[in-house]
Amino acid sequence: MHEAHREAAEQHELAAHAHRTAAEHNESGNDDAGKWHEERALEYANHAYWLAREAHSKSGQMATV
Amino acid sequence: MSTRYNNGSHYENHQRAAELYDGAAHAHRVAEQHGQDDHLSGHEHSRLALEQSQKAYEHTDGISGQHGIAAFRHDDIAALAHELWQARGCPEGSSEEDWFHAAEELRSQARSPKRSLRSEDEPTFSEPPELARSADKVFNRMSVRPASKR
Repeated sequence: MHEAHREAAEQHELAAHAHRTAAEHNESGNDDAGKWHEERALEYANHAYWLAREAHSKSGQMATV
Repeated sequence: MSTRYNNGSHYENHQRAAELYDGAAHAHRVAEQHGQDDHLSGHEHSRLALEQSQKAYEHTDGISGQHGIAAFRHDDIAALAHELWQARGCPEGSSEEDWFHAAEELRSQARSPKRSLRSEDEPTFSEPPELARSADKVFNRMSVRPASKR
């Protein structure tokens, strides 16, 4: 369960980084690069959310033991 | 003034999303720490972390939808990953592998210029038939279609 939360945190940090990179590219007018990083952000976001749900599910199992 | 900076600009939306993900990451670190000390407290922090994750995810999904990027969503990947996992005999400890295969397959289909939503079209990819069939099943029930076909 601890491992699941750690992995979730890492994926959230990657998503945050991808969003910031996308923002920088958009700000400088490099929309293609911005879009590429936005796609990566979506992938990290998908995976982060999935890990978060998995972590919470495992946490529930631990709490009821 | 550039339209990028008006009314929910790309820049501002991405910065807001990044802040939400920072918050979610912090919440998961806290849940991890509390889980080591106290399972009940850890579970409550886990719930809070999940709420943060959902809020951040919905923000990203909204941005991507506005920009025509949301070719597939979390549930679509999860459905395909689950089918791939089942097709491999439900092995333990390999969910990451199935997840990334599923995401890669959906991404490659969404980007394929030959991809069509018409059922009579022939498959346009050269992946193993099992993977292709599973991906097609997910595409057929997807609520969000590949961006290039909207």
